Amino acid sequence: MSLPPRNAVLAPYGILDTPPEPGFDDAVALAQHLCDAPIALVSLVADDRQWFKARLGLPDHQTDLDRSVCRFVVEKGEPIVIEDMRLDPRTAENPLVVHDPCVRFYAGAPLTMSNGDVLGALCVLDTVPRPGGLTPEQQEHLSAIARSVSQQLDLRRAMLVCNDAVTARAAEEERRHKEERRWGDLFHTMREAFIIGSLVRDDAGQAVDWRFDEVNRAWGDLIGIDPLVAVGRTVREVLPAIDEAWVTEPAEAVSRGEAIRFTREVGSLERWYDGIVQPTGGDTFTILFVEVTDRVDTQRRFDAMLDIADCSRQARTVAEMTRGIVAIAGGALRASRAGFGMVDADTRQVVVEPDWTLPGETSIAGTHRFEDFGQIRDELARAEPLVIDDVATDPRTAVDPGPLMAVNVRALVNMPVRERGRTSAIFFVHSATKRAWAPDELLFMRAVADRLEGGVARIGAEDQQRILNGELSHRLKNSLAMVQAIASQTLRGEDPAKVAALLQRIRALGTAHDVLLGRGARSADLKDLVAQVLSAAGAEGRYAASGPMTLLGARATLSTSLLLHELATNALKYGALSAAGRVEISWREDGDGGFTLDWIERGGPLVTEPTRKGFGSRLLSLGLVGTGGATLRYNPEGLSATFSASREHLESA
Amino acid sequence: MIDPVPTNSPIAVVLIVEDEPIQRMEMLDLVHDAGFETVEAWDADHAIAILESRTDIRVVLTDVDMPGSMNGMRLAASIRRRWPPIEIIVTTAGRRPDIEALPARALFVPKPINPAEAIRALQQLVSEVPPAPAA
Repeated sequence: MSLPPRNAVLAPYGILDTPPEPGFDDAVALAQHLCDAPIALVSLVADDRQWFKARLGLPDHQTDLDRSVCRFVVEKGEPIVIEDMRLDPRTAENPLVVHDPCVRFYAGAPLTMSNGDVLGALCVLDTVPRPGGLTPEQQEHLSAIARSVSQQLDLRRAMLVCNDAVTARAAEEERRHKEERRWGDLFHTMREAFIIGSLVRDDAGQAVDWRFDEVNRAWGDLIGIDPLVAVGRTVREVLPAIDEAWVTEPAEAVSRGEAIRFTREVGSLERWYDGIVQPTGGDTFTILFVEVTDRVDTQRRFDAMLDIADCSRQARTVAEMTRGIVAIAGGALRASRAGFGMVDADTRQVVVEPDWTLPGETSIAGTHRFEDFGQIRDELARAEPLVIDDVATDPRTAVDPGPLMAVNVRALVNMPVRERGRTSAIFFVHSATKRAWAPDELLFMRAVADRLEGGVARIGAEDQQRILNGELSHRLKNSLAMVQAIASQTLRGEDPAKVAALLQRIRALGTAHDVLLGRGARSADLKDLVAQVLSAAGAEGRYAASGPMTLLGARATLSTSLLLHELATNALKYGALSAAGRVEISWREDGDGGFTLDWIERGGPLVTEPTRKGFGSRLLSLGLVGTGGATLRYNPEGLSATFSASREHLESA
Repeated sequence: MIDPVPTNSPIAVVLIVEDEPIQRMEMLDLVHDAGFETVEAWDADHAIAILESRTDIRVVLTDVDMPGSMNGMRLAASIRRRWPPIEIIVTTAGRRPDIEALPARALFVPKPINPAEAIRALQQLVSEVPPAPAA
């Protein structure tokens, strides 16, 4: 029969291999005395040995289990008395019996714990047999001392448990303390602003405000308010002008029970913050946020640049463009005023165009002399930007900042708009308050000035081109009018039909030029060309045209317009349009860079192929670009013609 | 087919204002061949002088770009102001004028002139009942 895992039973008492203790030593002394025995022990039975917490009359502080009698007490859980150990089969061969100290008598009482565990025994031994064993009193005393030892052990266990708990609690407290210190440090050293807050509700239970329960240093730094001033007060008290969303969002997060992220401006501070409101139970919440003004400003300038690019591309006049661009740039820079002005050749005065201002600021549109405002023309004369953070302290303006202050300018930038290296105009930005212009902002203004420069040049060039085109068109058509008049006068008395055909062809050329010049003389849209030629020929409303956007080069425009004119006049004279018919014109791009245009007449008189090949027929056979590719089918129901050309030929000028 | 000539006047008189002589000649022939009586002027001032001297002009066909104190657009405006019942056709090789820039009821034909279009315009104008003179 094996013992239960004894070490596990003993472990909670923390008793094995501990130094002697008076309580146990007293117990064995008492047992030795009361039982009048030479040996007394408190023996604890472990898995592989018995160990004596207290002993008298035996030199060893432990023995192996072969020599243990107490283990039988532990097994039984009851006292055992062996009157003559030589005669008892359990002990007859025990080395302690056979050899020194040659014990003969044993009496042991179990050490039974309050939970039923038996740890060992309190025992007395004698070197002579004791027939009749202990007296009843001795037996009683031995058991009483064993109970007392057991109680000591029980107490020891309870104390150990308690100690463990105390130690654990102390450790936990230490840990928590450290953690709190760490979080506390973090709370105050983190760069993100942190608010612990709670909602303030009105009598109806409506959340109307919230209170700062705690804020960290970063909050104070970011917002620019002493944290001590804020704690205990409400957001409406601390920041009366704050955007309503800052007030309502925590209430929303609390009522939804989920975090809300935001990017928002504190309008009264003109700064932007990115953050998250996190409900933390009940009416409490936390707000964590960082300032992202720089990022927002950068994004804002980037967006503005896109708008400015659009504006400079689309504007038709310099005034329209500059007005649009300075408004976009002024807004993006959060300036008080921004504008554009042409500068005279020796950089002495500027003619400011209608400018952009914040509401309430006055416009400075009109002519100004630079020298009236301080030493501010040297940079512009060198085509360099003039940057002043504070007109009251900058040496160039501080002598008399009055004229600038009079129009509410405290800081300014004049960015030159250059033309061939010279300042031809300025883009200026004003601030009503002192302002340290950031390098990014100056780069942005440089880019805006470049845009203005490019836009002014483009519009100038386009204006010139438009004037030139108009002039060209005018002269060309005047020449055609002259040619028509001369031809008509020359051919007076000739066959009127022939004269009319000639005059019509001349006008078809005029139409082609119209379409071309409408698009800057480089290309014409086929759809426009079809519409103009057919309406000039008198076929308006009697045809259907369809096909993809197709730009024709200048040459193809002329040849195609003559071709369309020929087809239209033929249709009006002999074909579908001479009766109640219609023409269907369609075009498409083919694979391999090909292009096909179909001219299909329907609903006209019976058609036969013309027998005579006149100029008109030859024009038709030349096709769209004068290289052939024409197929004409004089079907009885109407002419059906197909013209093919390469797109390259069509598009090239 | 409608009769192109209004009943209250046997033949409508058209004043043609064009500085370029060959074109003017061509326009005169064109309008004459269409059955109208024609009068010519080589610039706006000349046209005004003619209008002041006779009362039978029914339509003025004028070029825009002409030398002299006023161009065809100004001539058209002043005719509408001084002789409201007279019909006006404006022609030019230049940009088509904006509709707001033309006097009320005035028509536009581009150059080179399409004879059929010009005659259609003339006939349309003379077939309409002349508006009552302004009060």
